[in-house]
Amino acid sequence: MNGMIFDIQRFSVDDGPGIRTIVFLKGCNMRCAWCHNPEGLQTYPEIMFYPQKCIGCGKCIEVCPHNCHTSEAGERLFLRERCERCGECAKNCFSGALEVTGRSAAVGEIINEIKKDESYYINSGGGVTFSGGEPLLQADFLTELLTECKKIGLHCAIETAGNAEWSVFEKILPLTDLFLYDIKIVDEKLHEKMTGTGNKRIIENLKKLANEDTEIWVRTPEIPGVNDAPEEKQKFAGLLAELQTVKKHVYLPYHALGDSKYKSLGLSPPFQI
Amino acid sequence: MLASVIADSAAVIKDDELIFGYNYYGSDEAMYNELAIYPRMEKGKKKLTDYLEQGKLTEEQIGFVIGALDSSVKYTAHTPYVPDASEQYADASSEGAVWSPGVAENHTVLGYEKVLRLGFSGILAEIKDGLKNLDLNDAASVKRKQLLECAAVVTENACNIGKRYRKKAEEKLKNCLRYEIAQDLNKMIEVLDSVPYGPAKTFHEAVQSLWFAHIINTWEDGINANSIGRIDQILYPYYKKDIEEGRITKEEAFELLCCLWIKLYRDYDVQQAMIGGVDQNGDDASNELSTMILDVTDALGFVRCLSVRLHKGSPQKLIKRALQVVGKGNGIPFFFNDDILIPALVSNGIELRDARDYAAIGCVEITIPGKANPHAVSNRINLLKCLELALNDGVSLTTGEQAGPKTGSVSKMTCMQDIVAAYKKQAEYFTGIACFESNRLELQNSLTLPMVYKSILTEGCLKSGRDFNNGGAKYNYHESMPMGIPNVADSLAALQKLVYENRKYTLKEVADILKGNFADETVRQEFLNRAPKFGNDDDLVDSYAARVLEHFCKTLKNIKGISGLGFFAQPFTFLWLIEAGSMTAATPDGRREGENIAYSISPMQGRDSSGLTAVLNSIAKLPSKMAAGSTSAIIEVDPALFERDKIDQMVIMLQTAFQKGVGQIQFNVTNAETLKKAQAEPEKYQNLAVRVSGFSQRFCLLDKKLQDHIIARTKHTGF
Repeated sequence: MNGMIFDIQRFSVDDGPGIRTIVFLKGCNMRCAWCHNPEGLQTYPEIMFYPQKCIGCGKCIEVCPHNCHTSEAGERLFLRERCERCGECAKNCFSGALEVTGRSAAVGEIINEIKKDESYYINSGGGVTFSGGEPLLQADFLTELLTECKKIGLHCAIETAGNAEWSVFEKILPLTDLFLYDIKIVDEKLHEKMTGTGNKRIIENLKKLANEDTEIWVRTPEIPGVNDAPEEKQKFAGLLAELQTVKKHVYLPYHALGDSKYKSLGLSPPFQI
Repeated sequence: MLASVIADSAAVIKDDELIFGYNYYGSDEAMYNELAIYPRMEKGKKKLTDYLEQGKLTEEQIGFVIGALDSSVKYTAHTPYVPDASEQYADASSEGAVWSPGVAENHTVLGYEKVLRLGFSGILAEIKDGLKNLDLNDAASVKRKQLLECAAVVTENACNIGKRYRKKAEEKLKNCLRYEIAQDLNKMIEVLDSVPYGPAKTFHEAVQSLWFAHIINTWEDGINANSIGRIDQILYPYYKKDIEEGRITKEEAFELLCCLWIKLYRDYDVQQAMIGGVDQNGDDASNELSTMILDVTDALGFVRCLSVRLHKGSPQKLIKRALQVVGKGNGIPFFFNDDILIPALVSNGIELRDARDYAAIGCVEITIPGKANPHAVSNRINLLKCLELALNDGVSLTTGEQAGPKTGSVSKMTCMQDIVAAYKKQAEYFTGIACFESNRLELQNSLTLPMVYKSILTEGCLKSGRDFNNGGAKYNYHESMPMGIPNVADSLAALQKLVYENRKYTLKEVADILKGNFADETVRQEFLNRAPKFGNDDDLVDSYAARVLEHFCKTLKNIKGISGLGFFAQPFTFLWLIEAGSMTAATPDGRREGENIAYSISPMQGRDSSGLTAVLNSIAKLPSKMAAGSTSAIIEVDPALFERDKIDQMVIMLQTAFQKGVGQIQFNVTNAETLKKAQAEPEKYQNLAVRVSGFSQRFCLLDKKLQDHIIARTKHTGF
């Protein structure tokens, strides 16, 4: 079966133990203000535009059926309001100034790519990590991927924010060795304000997960001025105290490296320090 | 002449030295004597002129000295006749297809352990014995007599170096006002009483003897890639004995190694040392000195060259320590894979026991210490130029001349097979020319460039009576360097994709596009970005790279040398990739005319964009076991990977890469300099990625502001 992904990244050492390959699934049901993978938010393929790579060949202007691309006073413009994301411009852009992010990929194709680094996984105690976006949103696709990975004996990790039905967790639990579970904010009101959704279900899922036979690392992006206040941290400590089986808790420092990705998607980063 | 250099060169001792001895240029009054051997080479005259100018001699005085040198040449032996370089070679070289230096200055690893073991007096005794026992009924023995007598003269003088330095040390002691220095001088006087005249009895004597042995080598024909060999193997027995018998502490040994290192890296150029690897029986040979040498290198910080041999059984601790040193940012040590290189040497005619003893000579090329004349960097062939010619019926695009054989017009070619066949013919033609010239130069050197000292310390020479440069060594071969393999692979993949699979262009159209040097940038971007590139773990292009290397190695196997084992493949370009690129026209991989070609078998700069494991997997697909001169690959790495919590992954990554078949690796730790270059020339640095957990973005796609921020936070390395 097929699913929507936006990247397969090899030789990753920051997303689980050992040397790993990360598969990024496209689509997320949260809108965290500081998200560093904005290309993973929508479920559909999108056009990314890097004007610094444009060589001025004009092919995109020629082939676009909706006249989205123009040049004005020497500056290349991409009028996204008209864009229907057919991808013809990117297909014909050889310099890589226009790229499509997100594609439908078959399970088999992804597994073949993952297999290429098997020796490294085996020797390092690594494996594969499914991330995104929110991987739990493509439950069937994810389950099939995990099943195939298990057939070849791979260690499987999932990076998730936990905002899905418990039934999805039930499906993937027997196939998952490690959950890298994001808890952004414990205070419910603040969570809703900064991520667009409440965290009741997220925290409930985590508590349920902590009773299952699986390894969990809780991760929190530390966003200055948002979740670094002492009251929030205390609430956090309280939550963690209830989760006796959580192996570790990691604070991920805020960075703005994703800002240029917003720009190339025609958006502006919702959060700035 | 060498004998008089050894006998008369000034003994120079500076304060705070624990190892004495200066070799060649940079040292003071010894200079004019050492240069006496250089009238043989133009380079020497230039060096002498520069030196004399520094010494504030007038033009007239300089002219007098140089004139005297010139006229003294008249008094050397009449140069025997050797054919000039063939016209074909001259043409091929001017077209940028081949270069055959034949032999570069020095580029050897001698059997120094013999000097430590026997002392020069012991070696002299062996030589005198040999002279006494000459079989006068064997006509060949008259040649042996000649070599042995020369060897005796050189060795006799070598015996006395210690004495001359001892005398100087005594002089200094008389005027010495500092207590510590007087202590050192007294210690040294004891050492110099012993070595290099006699065998080394202590670690200090061993190190000093090794250094004297090495200096003489550089007096013979200069400093340029003179490896000191497997130093942890050579020095260990002496170290072990001293430690066990309480004669030395670890700190004292450390200090002596630092002194040796300072000597080795005093002047420019590559004076390699090698640690690790297996012993004669195939077991792990690393020892306490191996780690200590890494510590010394780390502590000194300015060292240019060090190599580590790894095998399946190398201790993790050693690998980790070596990688920590790499992480400091100077790009050393280099790593060599025993499990690839030993079989490679054996399959090219080296005995297993000897193959297990291999060591690097210069940056990369390997040899068997004390047993071989490897004619390192003997010739190089620009394989990308061969492809250019194959696409033009042998006509060079840069000069318009019929540079290569007529291998057929592209209008007649209908499939990849045809292109590959034409390429192979060009490659075979030029490889033959390059090797013929190497052979001619070997003949010339055998008649005009005797190397007595090297003959003394290379097994086979004294026994056979044949000089080192006259086929006397146990193993004689040349190392032949194929250049541009990644570009050829990228080009063939582009042709397959764009001409035959997608049918976007005809082959004739491509040939014209290349003639026009990609006048249309859009078209160039298509060739650059719409076909797979070597270094991304793509089987299509990687298999072309493997076939190109295989074809080259097989071609070499059919070419004979004038002595010994013929030609070994050494896929290493050094910096000559710039020269080769400058003489090659535009190529189907999207490279413009005159641009650099790839470094050795690394992916063409900036074209690997699938991560480190993908690069390693691509390289591992090459038949490195056929290349007995050693491959070379530079891998760009993020400094964050060497931090405490990540470095264990690096150890495993390196071991796995070697397991899979990578033959040699050098790491280039990305630093602020690299990032600044990436800002200026993004196309060359597509592979640089910024990674944190759950995130990755190419450096070149970041805003300038973010780039500047990252540059500012990246630690500066180097000095």
